Amino acid sequence: MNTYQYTYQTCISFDNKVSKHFFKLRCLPYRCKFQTIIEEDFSVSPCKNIMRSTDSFGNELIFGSTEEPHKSFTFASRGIVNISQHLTIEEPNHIFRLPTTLTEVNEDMIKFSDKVTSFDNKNIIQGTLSLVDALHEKMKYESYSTTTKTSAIEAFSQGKGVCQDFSHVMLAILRNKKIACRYITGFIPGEGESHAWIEVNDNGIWYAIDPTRKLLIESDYLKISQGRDFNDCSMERGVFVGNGFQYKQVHITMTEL
Amino acid sequence: MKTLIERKDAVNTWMERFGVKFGIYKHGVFHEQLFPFDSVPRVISHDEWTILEKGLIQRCNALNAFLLDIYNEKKIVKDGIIPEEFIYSSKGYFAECEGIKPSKGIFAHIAGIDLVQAKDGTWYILEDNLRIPSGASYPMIARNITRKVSPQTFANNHVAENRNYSDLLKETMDYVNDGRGINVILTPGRYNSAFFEHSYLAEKSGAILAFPGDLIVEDDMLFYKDISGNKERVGAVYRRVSDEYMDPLTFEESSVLGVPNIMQIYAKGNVAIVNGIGNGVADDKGIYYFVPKMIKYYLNEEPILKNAPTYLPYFEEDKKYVLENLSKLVIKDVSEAGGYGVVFGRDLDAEHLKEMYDLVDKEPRRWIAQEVIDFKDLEIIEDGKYVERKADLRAFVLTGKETKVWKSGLTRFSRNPNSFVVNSSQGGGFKDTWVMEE
Amino acid sequence: MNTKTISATKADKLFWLGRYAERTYLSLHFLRAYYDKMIDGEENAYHEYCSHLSLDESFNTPSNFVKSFLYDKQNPFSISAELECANDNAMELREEITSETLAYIQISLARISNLAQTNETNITALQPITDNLLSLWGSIEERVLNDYALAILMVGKILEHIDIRIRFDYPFDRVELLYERLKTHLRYVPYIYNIEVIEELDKLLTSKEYCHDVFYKNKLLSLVNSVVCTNN
Repeated sequence: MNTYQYTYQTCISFDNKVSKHFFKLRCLPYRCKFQTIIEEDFSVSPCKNIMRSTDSFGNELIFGSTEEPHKSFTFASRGIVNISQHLTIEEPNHIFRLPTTLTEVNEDMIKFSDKVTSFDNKNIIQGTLSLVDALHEKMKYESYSTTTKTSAIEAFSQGKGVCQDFSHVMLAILRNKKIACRYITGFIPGEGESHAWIEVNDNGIWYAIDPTRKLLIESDYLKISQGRDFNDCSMERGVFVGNGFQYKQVHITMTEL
Repeated sequence: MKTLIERKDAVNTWMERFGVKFGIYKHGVFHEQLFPFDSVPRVISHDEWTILEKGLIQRCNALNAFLLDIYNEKKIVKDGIIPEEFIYSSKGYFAECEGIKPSKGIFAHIAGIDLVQAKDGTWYILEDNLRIPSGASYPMIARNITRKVSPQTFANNHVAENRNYSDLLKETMDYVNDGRGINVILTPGRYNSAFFEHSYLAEKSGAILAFPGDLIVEDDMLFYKDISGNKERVGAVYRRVSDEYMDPLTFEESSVLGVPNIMQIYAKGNVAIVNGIGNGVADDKGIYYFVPKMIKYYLNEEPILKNAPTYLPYFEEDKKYVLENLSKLVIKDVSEAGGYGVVFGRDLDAEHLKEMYDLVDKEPRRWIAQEVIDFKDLEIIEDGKYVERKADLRAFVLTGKETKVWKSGLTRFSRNPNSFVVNSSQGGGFKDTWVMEE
Repeated sequence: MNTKTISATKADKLFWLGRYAERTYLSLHFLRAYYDKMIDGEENAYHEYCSHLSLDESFNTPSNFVKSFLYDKQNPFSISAELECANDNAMELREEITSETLAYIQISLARISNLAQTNETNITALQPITDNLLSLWGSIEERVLNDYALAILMVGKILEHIDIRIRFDYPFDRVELLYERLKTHLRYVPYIYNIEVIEELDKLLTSKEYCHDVFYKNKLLSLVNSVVCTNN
């Protein structure tokens, strides 16, 4: 078990003032056996109307609204968490076996995966890890090469992407093999932006695998949210009245205590 | 009844007076047109109704049990009654509703069940509509008008009252509201095809007609915003906005018709949404096939009303039958509604038949096939003469403290003699439906 | 209704229903008056009508003028167009004003579209619409149970009437009478109006200041039209 302290902040600035701003945020640690929350704090500004809830995937939500016109919107959280090995014993919901629009496969992806390994019930995790290794020969990591709307097929075809795309491609291939798997958003030690990885269900146990860094996750990742794909885990969703560009700055730190 | 028919013009003038219209988009432009009304009512005898009523209550109780089960325990899937891919690949299923237990456990408060009667008198269920079935307001107002125009007709015939639909609606809303606040009807706005109905039901049920932007989520509750800055708590929303547009922060982000974050407080049980979100999983044309099985599974009863004989190409055996008999079946696209996506095999030439064959072969989950039912046609008056036309019946079943069937229904008919499609969006008309008291 | 709550959307519709219903009624009134002048050969009387409404229109014949101001939906001052606007607002207020009240606008619309088809230019054929509009206000008074809704409707009605009286150069006392009545109704619904505008109007709308000078009139009209603010 490791103890970590994390800080998270997102600042959105708008060209022009916006009002009637409604938001929904997922930026608090996921509640599960392998993560124990020691301390937790968050803030949203400007905002008087803040509420909390969990969504149907069990993710912690902060939601609310700001009526008054504003040009910047900031939300932050910090806390201390004890983390042990990322393992969850739970029968998977069938929806984690079905492709979503972001996690569909094409012929090339099926051919690619068939060449690497064939899955049976005994080698799900090993097979996934070999696929991840092989995927890095097909796709290279390149910052800003995709957007949040890029699908697994698009990322695979262009041969590059970021952690979100590596995760989506893996989910697409695994789901094509009827293996239950899910998308995870969270933090990793150091400083920077959020990270994405996957969890794969092997006979009733969820294992966490990082397709970007090619490893089986132990106890140094902080899980924030889970879902079918990026859309279920988006850290921030908002609607507001007003137009103009928005610039988003995210800053995360995670250090072992 | 003769006087009623003779006073057809007077009836139509009153219809115009009350603005009994529905909206329709032609070439992208919004028009409002009168919903053509035929004075000859559909008459259902007391005995016949007693059976229909029982069957409809049974069906809706099973559908509600199914919805609660699917979004929670999923026993029916675990027990192998319905294959899981039928649930989760349905467009009407929303993972966002997992774990939700709505107020009083009711998902389908207002069900519009479409039936047809065959020549031999047997009633068949054609379709369940558990999302936002519309049409109840039309027979209500038609009755209001025909009673004015021809009082003697109603003095001579003991027809069950149907203008109380709004009372049933209020009863249902009050029950799930549970005293938390006011009732509102949420309309997408004036340019929705059923706007007349939204405003009429609000008037008659004493609910507030709310427009997008009038409602706000605060302190884990839903409020109706007053111009003076006050806020009134809302306990139940009868929403006439589709699931996908209900919450831009959960579903379609571009929606301006919904209420941001309403899903969170709905999940917490702080507001009732009538009908529930995610009901589409139960009125999916593919799930329809399984409704008789649901009745046995949840209620341990034999289904009182029959489904039209239906085949699911998803099952190998059914697929084989469907492909072999394509030309005599009616094929329906499970994802379409409003009479769209319905193809009669007998209308297809060899080339289109082949096309259909390939479609069913390639995407079996997308289609269902049904035997063509020999409809019992209804008489309508056209240019002063009686002619026979295809018609169906939409019965309205309301679930609150009890499950009740409204003693009337929307009888829609096709004005085109060769058409089976009765939807108002495709030019159909409507009749009053008389349920006899004795 | 189990509440007297009125949303901003509804307040806006109530106000504009009041204005458009009254505008239609008054347009019919003036059209009858100017039509009457034209009978005596004052063929150019319609120019005067247009100039009161600040319209720079040219119609080659009186009958074109009448047709345009009755049926031309492109002309925002036509009876057809004004009724449509009244209907657009009324449609969204059914549960506030009742179906029976809304019916007076519906039957007027049906009537005008029938007349438009035959291009009827005899203005007396439109008398039933005037009757319906009077019935509309009677029905509103009988059936609108929410006092705030009723006050907002009346504010719209009276404000429209003031606007028209100023445009048509009515004497001061006729305008003042309505202005005082407007303020009585505004007191019920303090959240829909702008107090500074009223204060300014109080200073400007006096027997001493009142005149038909264009500059003065425009200033007055612009104030009158910014008394009410429903979109907060």
